[in-house]
Amino acid sequence: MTIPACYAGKILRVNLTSGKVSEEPLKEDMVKAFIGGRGLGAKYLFDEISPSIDPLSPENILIFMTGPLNGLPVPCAGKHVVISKSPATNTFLDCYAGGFFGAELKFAGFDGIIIHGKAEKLSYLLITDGKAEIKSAEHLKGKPVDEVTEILKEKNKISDLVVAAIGPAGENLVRMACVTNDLHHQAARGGIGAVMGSKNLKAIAVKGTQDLNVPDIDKLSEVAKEAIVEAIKNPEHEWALLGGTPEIVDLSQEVDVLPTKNFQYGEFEKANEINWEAIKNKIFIKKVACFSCPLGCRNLVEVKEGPFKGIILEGPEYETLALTGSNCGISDLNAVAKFNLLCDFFGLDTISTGNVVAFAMECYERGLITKEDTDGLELTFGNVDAYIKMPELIAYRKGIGAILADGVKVAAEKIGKGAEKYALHVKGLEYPGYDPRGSIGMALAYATADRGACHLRSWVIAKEAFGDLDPFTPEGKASEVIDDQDRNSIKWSLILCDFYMADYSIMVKLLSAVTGTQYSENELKLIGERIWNLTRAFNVREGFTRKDDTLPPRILEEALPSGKAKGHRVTKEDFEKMLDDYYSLRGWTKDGVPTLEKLKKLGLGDVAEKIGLKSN
Amino acid sequence: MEIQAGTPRISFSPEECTGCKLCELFCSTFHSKAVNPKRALINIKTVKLGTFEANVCRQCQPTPPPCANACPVDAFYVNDAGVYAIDSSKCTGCGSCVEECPYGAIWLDPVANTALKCDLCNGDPQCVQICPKKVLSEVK
Repeated sequence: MTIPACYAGKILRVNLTSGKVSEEPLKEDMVKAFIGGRGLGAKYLFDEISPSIDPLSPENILIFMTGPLNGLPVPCAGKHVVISKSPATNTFLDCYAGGFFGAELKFAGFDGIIIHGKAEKLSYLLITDGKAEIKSAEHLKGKPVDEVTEILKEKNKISDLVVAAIGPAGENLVRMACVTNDLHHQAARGGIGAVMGSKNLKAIAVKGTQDLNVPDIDKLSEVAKEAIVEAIKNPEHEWALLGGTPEIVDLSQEVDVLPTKNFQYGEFEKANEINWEAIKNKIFIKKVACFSCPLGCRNLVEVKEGPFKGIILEGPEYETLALTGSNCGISDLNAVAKFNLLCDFFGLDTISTGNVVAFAMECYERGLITKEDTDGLELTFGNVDAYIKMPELIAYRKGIGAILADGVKVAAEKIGKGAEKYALHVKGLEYPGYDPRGSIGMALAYATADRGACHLRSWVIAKEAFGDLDPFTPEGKASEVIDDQDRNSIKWSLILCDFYMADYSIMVKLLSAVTGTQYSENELKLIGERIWNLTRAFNVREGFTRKDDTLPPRILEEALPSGKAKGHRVTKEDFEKMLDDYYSLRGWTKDGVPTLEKLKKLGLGDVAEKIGLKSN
Repeated sequence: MEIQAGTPRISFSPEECTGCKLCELFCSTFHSKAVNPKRALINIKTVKLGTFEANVCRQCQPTPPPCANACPVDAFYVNDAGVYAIDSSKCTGCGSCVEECPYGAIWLDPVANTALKCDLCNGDPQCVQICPKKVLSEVK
């Protein structure tokens, strides 16, 4: 196979230590085995960094990657992925962001960028049509993302320059720092922005006007038009066309999984002040979309009254409403919108930031930290005045922010006094917006996700608490989680958006049309499983096994006090059963390590060797 | 002589535009037979966050319009849709039409270096067909 022309065909290598940029062709065998995006990026990361390195050292690499569908006229292919070793978890880390960056990168002639080393001074990367230059960003030091974006457009006299940048949080190596592109799209989790900051790389700015090609453009056009019409008509996408992710607030409230006051409750008495109805009535302006998306799930909002009057942003999404709203006891929608905007521009992940603020609020209310620690802030649940100051304190590591900036796991260690009981995380990554006590499969999804507690790899709640499966039984959940993880592994290698309900038949149709190679559903399933095993192998090489696939104490020990899931917790027995089922179905050992046989069968013999598995 | 928008032409109502760029993608795919929204004959510009403007030929009256008048090599012709189109095999990319257009609605193809102007896809505008929010329509 030669590399199909739907790929740009090239990887840009940037060595910030030496200041050298170079390009290399995509490798055919790698593209065949891993397709693009998540899969290809994971293989580069596995092959090119040594085990046990400090994620914030120059030895780590930072990868921006696209897939074969990005840039093409197919529905919902607006995302790119940023991959590295996570400073929050020390695991594999892949973060997806929508917007226009991924497509622009391909039109500029590159499928991906691999960044090595560390620049001597703060720098940015300018990529225009096959050319890349490392330029000084000293004038951008400490600046928030919105200013950086404007300055780079003006300075380079390119009004449609697409910018991905870190804010002060990334520069200050905050372990929940994100990379923001197109102002309100985040490669959010696991401190990916801190990795960029550790390399002294402030931004990547891209402009591309080059062609991508497919073997039969009229055929692709036909296939894509049909897929677009079907996507719009599909009732499973109705939510996207209407309220978008904020519609989940009511669903979560109904089934008692809405994180409230640091996961002390699964329902929020003021949920109707932060749900889609509230957004629609108070701040909604219009729907907006990412590149090539016919659904346009994003909400453009404007705060129309009060102290935050006049702010305009895309958001807040469900995760932000849940973690920085109900989980902090905040029902003031305008304040949540402002908090969201501050996180976007300071460069913070709203999920982890919401968690760590809620954690601090609980510690404060329980007396584990006091006004002395907070510089006088009354850091109680629901106190907007204190809450709204937190993004800046965390981004600049000031005051209580210095304790919180490395996430709940590290903050609990610093605070001591049993604070770890109130820290909701797996492997150091904070919990997303679905309490597993109301939908037990999410406990397994979080525990086995390769980047720590993540809801995206398997959103099994769709079938459990939001669907027909019993949300309290561990039976049958492992296979559901595995199916999701493998399917998303291939979907994010193409890269299609999470929110596009593309099953294997759609993925086969689109990938075959753009590459000119006829794929089968089974081939894509196999590649998905291969990629999941590869990222697990990465984590195994870093020392992660069953002992790290855990639940936070609160989920194991405390039952939900009210609502539909009242009296439910995830018992150790149920959790261990799900893990046993999961490892067994995966073909891994009881300790959660892929076997030599399994890896060989998946074509990962080289990977098996590198994690020390040898045939007898 | 006063210049007026002619018919048929593409009309844009900005309120519901999401900025997805599917119009640019399918326009360029149809015309250049390659995938490259920068080669589209319609341009959706972001004025500010969430506010978009469509830049596309208004098919000016009178006949011939200033762009066609300015062409030194006679590359303009009237197509089956009844509007002026550019024969790219004749166009030299001199940019005279680009300069003459009072609306900035003609530009040069960044790859082929020939002038690009909306020709209504010879009667079946791809942008109108694909727009998921139906903010683009053909005024007949």
